[in-house]
Amino acid sequence: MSWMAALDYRQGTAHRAAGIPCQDFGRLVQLDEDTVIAALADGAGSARFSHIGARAAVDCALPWLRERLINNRGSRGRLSTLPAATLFDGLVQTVQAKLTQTANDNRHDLRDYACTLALVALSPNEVSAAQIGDGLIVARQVQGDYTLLIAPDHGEYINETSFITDPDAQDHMRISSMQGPIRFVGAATDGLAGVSIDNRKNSPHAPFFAPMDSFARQSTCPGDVHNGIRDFLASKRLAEKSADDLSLMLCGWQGYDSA
Amino acid sequence: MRLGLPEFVQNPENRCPVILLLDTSASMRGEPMAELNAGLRAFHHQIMTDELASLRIELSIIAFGGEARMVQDFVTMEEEGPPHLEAGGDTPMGAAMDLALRMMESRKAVYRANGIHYYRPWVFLITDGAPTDGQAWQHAAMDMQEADLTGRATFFTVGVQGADMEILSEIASPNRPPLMLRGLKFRDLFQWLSASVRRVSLSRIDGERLMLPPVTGWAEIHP
Repeated sequence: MSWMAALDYRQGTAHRAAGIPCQDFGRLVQLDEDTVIAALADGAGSARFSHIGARAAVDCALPWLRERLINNRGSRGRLSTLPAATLFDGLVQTVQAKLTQTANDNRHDLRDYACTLALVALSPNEVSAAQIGDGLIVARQVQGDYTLLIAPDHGEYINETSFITDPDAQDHMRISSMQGPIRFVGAATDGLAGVSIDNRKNSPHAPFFAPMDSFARQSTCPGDVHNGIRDFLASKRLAEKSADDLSLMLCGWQGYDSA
Repeated sequence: MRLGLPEFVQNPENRCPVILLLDTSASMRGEPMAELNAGLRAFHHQIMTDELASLRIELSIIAFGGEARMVQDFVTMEEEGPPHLEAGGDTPMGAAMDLALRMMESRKAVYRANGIHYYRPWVFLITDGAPTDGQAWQHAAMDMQEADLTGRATFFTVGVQGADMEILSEIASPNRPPLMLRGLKFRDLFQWLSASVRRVSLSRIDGERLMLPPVTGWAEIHP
């Protein structure tokens, strides 16, 4: 029994055409058979070095979360002794301090590194997530529906959101968790929001997630999941729907009672 | 349960509304009007070359010459080409700004009712004169500035030769002083506008910090 989990990101067609670097970045780490952590960041189009910011934010946040889980290890399928509400205490300050330092070293402005950040930790019985920005995190329990664990946070305008570099980032951090037999967790940056969320109902678009879910849970190794994600992000049909940078994480639980 | 408007069923893309407020008063007659019309066609052409932008950018045009009137309601570029504008009459700029604000709010309501995401509207005013509708322009300008300052719209002002730049400075948002068009470089202006709205409509931005292409090809910034 283990997670079939992978993550990938890809430069959007509009970015490629305009010579803008890929501003999405993400990493996923399987800590042990039961536990997966992942981070996704999406740099602001208006920030000069947001591709650097996205990478730095992920590279700072992920080891931080790993330490945090190791130091507060849970038992019986629980992620941590800490509740989700406090698990992410210190995340914003830690990442902002790191980005500020990098900005100072390079004589850049912190706002040049503006990016969103999503952080996810999952075990077979719990998933916890935190986000600043407009990515999305979806989860499904055994025999349950897809639920938006964290919905994209944007104001009135679809292309304006909060960034980890904002002075008030802490106020815009959304935290959510789900307990129970978790079977699937997916996460994406805003490039996939248009195809994966039903805007009218503000809920996950099941025809998008269901095939991904069964694909992940039926894969024989995480490498297969990764290949599947890579092919999907590179597909022409997807490019017709979204010209933005794209990131996708899929985690399917393979257990005896998979459903 | 209500049915959505067909335009949103066929094209559920996010929308980027752009309102052009164009001075078509008598003083625009002749070459300025011809160049403005050519600029509009160039704008349409440039947006059409970008498939996604052509689905997202919705253009509406208000002409003010004699009266302020909507000559084109919000449509995406694939639906309709630009209208041909004729010059005549005085310069009811205040009424035009009022109309723009009303149209903008009602369009947003339509988007919301249809579950369509949208971008911050752009309102782009071009004039070669000064308002002739009494004091109406002062109230309208205040409303427009408030809309800009509170993020309900992004308001640009451009003066063409003959424009009263002092008054235009009072009309413009404190965020964005008026620009002065060099000669009759309407086509360069509209090329810049199409590049800018494409940039905005294709990426996520920090709303307080628009990064737009330089305007040096067609404008001088009025001090």
